[in-house]
Amino acid sequence: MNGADVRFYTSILMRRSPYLAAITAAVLAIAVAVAFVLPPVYRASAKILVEAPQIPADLARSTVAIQAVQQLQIIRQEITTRNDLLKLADKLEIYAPSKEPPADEDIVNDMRSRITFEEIVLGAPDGGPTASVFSVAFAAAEPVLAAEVANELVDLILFKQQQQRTGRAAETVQFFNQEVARLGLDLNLIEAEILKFKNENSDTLPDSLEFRRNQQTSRQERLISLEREESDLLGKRSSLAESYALTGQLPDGEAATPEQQMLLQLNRALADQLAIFSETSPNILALRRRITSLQETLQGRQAQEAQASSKKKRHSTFDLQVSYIDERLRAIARERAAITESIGALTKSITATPASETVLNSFERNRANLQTQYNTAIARRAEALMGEKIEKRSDGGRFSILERATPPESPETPKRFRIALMGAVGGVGLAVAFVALLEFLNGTIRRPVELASMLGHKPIATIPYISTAEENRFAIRRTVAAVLPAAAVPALLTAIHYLYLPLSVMAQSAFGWLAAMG
Amino acid sequence: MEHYDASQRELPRPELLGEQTLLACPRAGTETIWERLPPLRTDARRLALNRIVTTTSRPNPAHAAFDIIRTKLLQELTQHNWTTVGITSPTAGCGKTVVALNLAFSLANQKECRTILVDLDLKRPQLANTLGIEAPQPLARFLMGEIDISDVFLRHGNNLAIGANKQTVSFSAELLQSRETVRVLEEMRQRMSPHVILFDMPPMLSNDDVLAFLPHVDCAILVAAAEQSTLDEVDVCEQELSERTNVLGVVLNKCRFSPEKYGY
Repeated sequence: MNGADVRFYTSILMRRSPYLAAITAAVLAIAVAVAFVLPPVYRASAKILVEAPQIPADLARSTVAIQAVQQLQIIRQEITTRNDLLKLADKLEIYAPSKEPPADEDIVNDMRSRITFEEIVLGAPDGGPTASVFSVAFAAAEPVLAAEVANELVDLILFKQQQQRTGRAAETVQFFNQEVARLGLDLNLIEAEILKFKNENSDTLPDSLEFRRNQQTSRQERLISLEREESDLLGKRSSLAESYALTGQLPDGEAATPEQQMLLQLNRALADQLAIFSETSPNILALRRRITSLQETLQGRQAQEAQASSKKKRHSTFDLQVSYIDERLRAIARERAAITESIGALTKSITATPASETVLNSFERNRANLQTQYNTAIARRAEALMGEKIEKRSDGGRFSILERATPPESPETPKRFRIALMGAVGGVGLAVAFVALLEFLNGTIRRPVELASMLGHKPIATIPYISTAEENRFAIRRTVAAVLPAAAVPALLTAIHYLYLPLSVMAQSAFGWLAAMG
Repeated sequence: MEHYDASQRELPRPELLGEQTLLACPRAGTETIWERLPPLRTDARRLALNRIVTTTSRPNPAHAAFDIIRTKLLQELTQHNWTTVGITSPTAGCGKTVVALNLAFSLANQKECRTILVDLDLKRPQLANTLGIEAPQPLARFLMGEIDISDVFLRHGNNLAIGANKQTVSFSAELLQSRETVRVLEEMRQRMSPHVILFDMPPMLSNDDVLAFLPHVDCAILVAAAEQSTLDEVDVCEQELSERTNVLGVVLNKCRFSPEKYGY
C-alpha cells in the first residue's frame, strides 16, 4: 500500500463520514442508554481464612482427616442446595421487593448465579502447604442486602463446617465405642467357652500331663515291687510247705525228714530235666515215678504221724505262717489290680491330651486375636476421644472469618463508562465495517487506477468532481442532516428519561412485556 | 497544423464575400455561415451552476483536465485526419453533456479551431437546459433537412457553434441512421468546415441510438462517472465502441479522489 492508497482509503472514509458519524453516534447512544438503564449491581464479599490444624498433627491428630479446601467445596455444594437457598432467600427477604414472588426454581437459579466462591491463592514461597483464603460474594441490587447475604452465607459456612467436623469426630468416637463393646462381648464369650472346655476336659488338660506321666511311672514302679514281693512270698511259702512236707518240721525249728529232702531234690531235678527233655522222655518218667513213690511213702508216714500227734504245736505254727503269707498275697493281688486300673486310666488320659490341647489352642488363638483387636480398639478410641476434644475446641483445621462483608459503596456493574466506551469502539467498528461492506459491494470505478488496470492504458483524463456553490452548501446541509438524527437518538432518549418515564423503569416494563409475550 | 494554418489564412477576411458566392467558394461561404449564426447568450451564473468551468479563466482543476482532453483530442484528430467525435457514456447521468460542453468551450478557447457541438441525445436533450438557453428550432427538423444550419445553431465567440435541442424525438435511432441525416450532417461539415465536430450522444446501454450513429463518427470518447459506472459497464461499452469506431479513450468524470495534487 503506498501513499496514494492510504489517501484513497482515507478519502473514502472521509466521504462516508456521515455514515460513520451516524452509526457511531447511534451505537454509542444505545450503549450509553443501556449503561444507564442497567440496574446497579452491588457485590459484597466476605473472606474466610482456612487454617491448618493448630495442634500439630504429629502430637494429636484430628479424626477429621479431610482437607479444608475439600471440605469447603463440599460445604459450598451443601449451602447451594435448593432448600438452603430458599431458606436464605426467605430469611433475608431477597425477593421481597418484586411484586409477585418468583417461582422457587427461578429463585434457586438466580441465587446460584449471584453467589460466587473464589479462592484467593496465596502463593507459598517453597511450594509447601499454604493458608487459603476464600471469598464468598453476593450480588444484589442494594449494597446492604448484598453484605447481609454474604455474611449470612459465611455464617452458614462456618456453622456447617463446625457441625460437620464435630459430627464427624463424634461419629468416630461412637464407632470405636461400639467396636470396643462388641469386642469385649466376644472376648467374654470365648473366655466362658474356654472355661467350660477346661472344666469338661480337666483330666486331659496339657497342664497336668507331666504330673500324670510321673504318676504313671511311680505306679509302674510300685507294681514291679509288688510283683517282686509276691514272688518272694510265693517262694517262701513253697519252701515252707516243702520243708514241712519233707521233715514234718518247720525249717527254722526241726530238720526235714530224709524223704522230704529227697523229694525236694527230685522235684528240683525234675524241673531241671523238664527244661531239657520232653515230658515223655524216660528220664522224666523215671523221675516222676520216683517222686510219686516217695510222696506215697511220705503221705503214709504223715498219715501215721498225724494220727499219732494230731494236736502237735508245730503243726499249728506252720498253718499260721502259711495263712499269713496267703493273706499278704491276697492283699498284693488286690493292690495290683487297683494299680493296673489306675495306669490304664492314666494312659488313656495321656493319649487324649493332644486332642484337647489342639482344641484348647484354637480357643486360645481366637481369644488372643480378639484381645489384640480389643486392645487396638481401646487405643483407637482413646485417640478418637482426643480428636473429638480437639474438634470441640475447634483446634483442628478450621475456618475463620478474615473479613466480614461490608456494604459496597459503588456498584460492581454496570461499569457505565466501560459500556459506553465499548459502545463507542463498537460503533466505530460497526461503522467502518459498514463502510467497508459498502465499498466491497460497490463495483463502481472509484479511481483512475482501477480503470487503467482494466483497460490496460490510462484514461484520457480524469475530471475531478465539479462542485457548485449550491452543492457545497448542500454538502454541509447533508452532513447536518446525517448528524442530526444521530444526535436525535440520545436527545430523544434523554428527553424520554427526564420528561416521560425513567429509562430503567421503561426497560423493566419492556422486559416484563417481552416475558409476557414469550 | 494544416488546419490551423488554414484558419489563420482564412479568418481575417470574412466580410469580403457575399452570400451568393457561398456555393462557389466554400471557404468564403464558411465564413459567411459562421457569421450569420445567431450568438449564444449565456448566463455566467447559470453556467457555473451547471458545472461549465471552461468559459471562465478561474483556476479550477477540472478546467485543466478539460484542457488536457482538448489538447489530446486535437492531436489525435490531426494525426488521423478525423473530424467527428462522439461523446457517450455507459449509462445516463455520467456527465456527457457537461463534458461535451466543457470540452467545446475549451476548444473554443483555441482561437484557430472551429468547433461544432451537436446535441444528438434526441430522447433526453440536455444541452439547452445546461446552457440555460431556448433552442431556436427542433434539431430533428434540421436533421431531416427541413431547415437550415443558421436556424438551429448558435454561435459562441467566433469559432464555436452549438446545435441545441429541446424537442424529444420518439424514433431517434431511425432518424440518426437515416440517409437524410447523414447527408445533412455531411453537408454541414462541408459548409462550415469545422475542425472538430462534437456529438453529444445518448448513453450506450439504454438504447440503440449510439449504435445506429457510430458508423458516422470518426472516433468516440467514453465518459465514465466515478462511483457510478461499474468496470463491467465500461468494459462492455469500450468493446462495443472499439468494434464500430476508433476509441479515443475513456474519461473518468466526477472523480472525487485526485491521486496527485499538483500545486498550481
